[in-house]
Amino acid sequence: MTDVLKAFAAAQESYRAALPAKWDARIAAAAACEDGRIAAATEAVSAGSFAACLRALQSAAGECGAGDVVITNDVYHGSNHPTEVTAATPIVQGGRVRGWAMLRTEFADIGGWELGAYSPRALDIWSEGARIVPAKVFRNGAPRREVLDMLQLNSRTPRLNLACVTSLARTALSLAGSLAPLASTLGALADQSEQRAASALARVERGEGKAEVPQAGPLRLRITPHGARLSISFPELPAASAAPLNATRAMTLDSIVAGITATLRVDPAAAVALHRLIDLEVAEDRLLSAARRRPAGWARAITGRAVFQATCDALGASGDAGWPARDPHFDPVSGRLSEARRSTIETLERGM
Amino acid sequence: MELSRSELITAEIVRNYLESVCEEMSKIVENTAISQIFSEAHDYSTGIFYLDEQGVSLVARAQAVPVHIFAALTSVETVLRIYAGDVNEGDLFFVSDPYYGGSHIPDWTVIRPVFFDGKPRFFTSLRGHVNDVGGCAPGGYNTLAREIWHEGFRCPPVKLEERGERVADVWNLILSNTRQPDEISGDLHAMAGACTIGARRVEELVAKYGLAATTRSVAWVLSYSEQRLRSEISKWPDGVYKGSAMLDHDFAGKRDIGVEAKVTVKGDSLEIDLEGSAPQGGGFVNSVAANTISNIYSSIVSLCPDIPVNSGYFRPVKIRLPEASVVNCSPPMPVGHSTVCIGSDIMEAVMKAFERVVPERVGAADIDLCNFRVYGTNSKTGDFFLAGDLNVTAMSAGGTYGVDGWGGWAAPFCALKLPPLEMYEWQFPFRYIQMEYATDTAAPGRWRGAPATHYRRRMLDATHCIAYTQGYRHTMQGYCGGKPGAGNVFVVNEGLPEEQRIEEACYNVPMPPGAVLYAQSGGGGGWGDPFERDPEAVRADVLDEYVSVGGARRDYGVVIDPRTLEIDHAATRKLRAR
Repeated sequence: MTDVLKAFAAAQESYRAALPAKWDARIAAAAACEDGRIAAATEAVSAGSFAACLRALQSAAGECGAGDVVITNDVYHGSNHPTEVTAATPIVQGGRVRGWAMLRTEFADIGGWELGAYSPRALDIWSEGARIVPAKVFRNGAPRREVLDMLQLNSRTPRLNLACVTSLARTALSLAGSLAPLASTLGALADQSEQRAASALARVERGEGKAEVPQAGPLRLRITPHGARLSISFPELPAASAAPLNATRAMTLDSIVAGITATLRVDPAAAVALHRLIDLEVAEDRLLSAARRRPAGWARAITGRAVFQATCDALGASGDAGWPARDPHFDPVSGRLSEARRSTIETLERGM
Repeated sequence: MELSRSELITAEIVRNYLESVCEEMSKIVENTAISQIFSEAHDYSTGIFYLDEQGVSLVARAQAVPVHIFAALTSVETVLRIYAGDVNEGDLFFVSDPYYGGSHIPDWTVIRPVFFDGKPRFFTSLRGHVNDVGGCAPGGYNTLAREIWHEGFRCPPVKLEERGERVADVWNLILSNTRQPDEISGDLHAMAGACTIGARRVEELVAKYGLAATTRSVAWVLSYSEQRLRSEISKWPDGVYKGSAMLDHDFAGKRDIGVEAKVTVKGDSLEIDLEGSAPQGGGFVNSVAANTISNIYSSIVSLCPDIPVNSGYFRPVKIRLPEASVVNCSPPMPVGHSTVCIGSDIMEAVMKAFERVVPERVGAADIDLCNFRVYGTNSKTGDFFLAGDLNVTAMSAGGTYGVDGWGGWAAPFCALKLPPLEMYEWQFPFRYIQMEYATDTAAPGRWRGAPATHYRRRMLDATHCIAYTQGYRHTMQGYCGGKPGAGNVFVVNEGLPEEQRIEEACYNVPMPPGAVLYAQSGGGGGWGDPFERDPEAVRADVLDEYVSVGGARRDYGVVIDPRTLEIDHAATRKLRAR
């Protein structure tokens, strides 16, 4: 595990070094086994959405080989926000795919109504920005003009996007190289994580928690242990919203895992497997299980936080301690990107 | 260029063959596309392009929407520039971005290079208007757009197929950025299929006549059109002529968006300069250069319709467009409505400039669009639906010398079809209440415009509506003394407390089940002094209820007995003599 984490740290440093110093975007890393299970991640609570992205990337992007990097930003393919971009590249050994190196970062802009894809006017997912459904951004180690051009053209910050995606892809390839000697250990790591996650969940008792989703209504979340697994249901849950508050199952799962991790102080090596032990019982196309058309730009910041709070409440804790805020620049009053961030992005783009 | 008699015959065969290939491509799309905007409305165009040392030329096109295919020339040029050295046999290109040779984002262009002797020498191409392109407004007409990113997914030139292999993730990217991926996938396949069949036909042509004879024929065809137009122009009086047109508004609070056209006729050449047109800005009426040039070409083509239309036709024409203007905008200006508004006004301004050059050939080339998109869940299917309706747009052409305006699109758009209302009712939760000509709305003229239509449609399910209109204050102009057409009127939720009369636009307005859309779709202008109209023709219009007895007197100086409906010739002569 230590070597994997070292590889992650090197990748994060390398990614950041390739970008302007003032671009302080998040960069998360993960490694998955050949079967798609997340074995390790720098943001363990996001392992569920990493896994959802990987499933989509594997199934939609066709054959992937050494040097190929596939990306998506699509909320309905595992992403948490239209500007959140996840990249995956196979870890190849002996001509065989033995695992996956993954990175996740934020783009400054992806078109749509507003810079940063927070828009109170969003009617549906298309109005929030371009949907980069799984696409190969690098093939055989070389950038693909088609996808890079699309990413630039559908952004108010084409230069920053190009720098981000190029660095993301190169860093992913480099990470895959670093992880290659460790590929044979990833399966065992995932198994160990799952065992530790199961023992963490053994402490969970049946409970119910509440939270309010601003502009949508109250939600109640019920936790029911079933052996080593948890069943999560929602006795009270708002309908899908016309506002961009709609979360997908993957987003909801991330928020629940974050709540469990924060409340039970689950260590990251165990937290990375929690999502695999949770059964989400939610009807189709509700606020926490949005169907494909719904706008989702505020979901990570607002709905996700409410799910986190309800989870903590169900486990007997309260407050926001441990909430992995991924939207530090979201202005909840205007529903848009903060003016300060807007200004930073515009300055950075002009200077590139 | 000199050709022998047999070579001339071959050249004519080649020209007609290539034009028939374009027609075949059109038929393929009509018969295989899924969306009614293709299969019923024919909002697409086909063309064949030729590449030699001089550059890319349009060689042949089908009788489709000329503003599509003239702009597609720029798309072919852009693909060749972007993919210089990387255009291969079996490639299939796609582009939709206005700033990469497009017009507006919903106009998708597919291009197939055809190789001979290892070089791409011909290109089959199809540009078609798809029903949705993602973005902030279902249907691609975002009335609130202030920048291009508000209008839809922008696609630069990409390869849909590379050396014969489908590039699956690029297809998926494009289709995932529409709200109707299944339908539009069918449309895109139809476009690609048409280009492929077209390419095969070009190969068959070259196999029959040989590359040298074919290219020599193409060169002659281009030269022939050039010489024919030069010959026409040389008969026109030298001089500088001006025309102008005005758009009601820019959808962003600014009124009276002007287009100025200065046409200089000198010898056998034309120069068309749009200097003085409004600056770029505001809402989605800005036009990229390719769209503007395409609309200018459409006007010129209307003047000499018997000359084969290809790039040779345009060689005598020099165009100047002011930078950063509404007729030559730069990124990130929104352009979504520019194909018609301001495109139509560009045509009108140019046509007006020609009014004193070739008066008997000018006539309404423009349409003042009022249109809408409605969307929601179709209770018949449970699925999302999204529909416009070309029937609500200005479908009443203006008069031209010798011909009254006809009930259909103006000449540059006349390949567009008006889909049958029954098809709409079958596909969508609509019922049509009214669709008929309105009395006394035809623009008076020696040859009058067609009457305006009154249109009412009831929604059967709850829907939302985006509606946008022009031609409310600045209606379509008449020519040579003809009067302007009736204006557009647009009402959403007619008769309900939420009723809105649309003077500019509305965005995402709810329409409950039973709500009615009403539109008066104004017609084109008349041609010539209405007092010179044949009184018998005026009487026929009265009998057809196009014109009232009062209108005949007021607008045409024709006195008709309201009881017998016979002309009072003496009173008419007296009235007309005033």
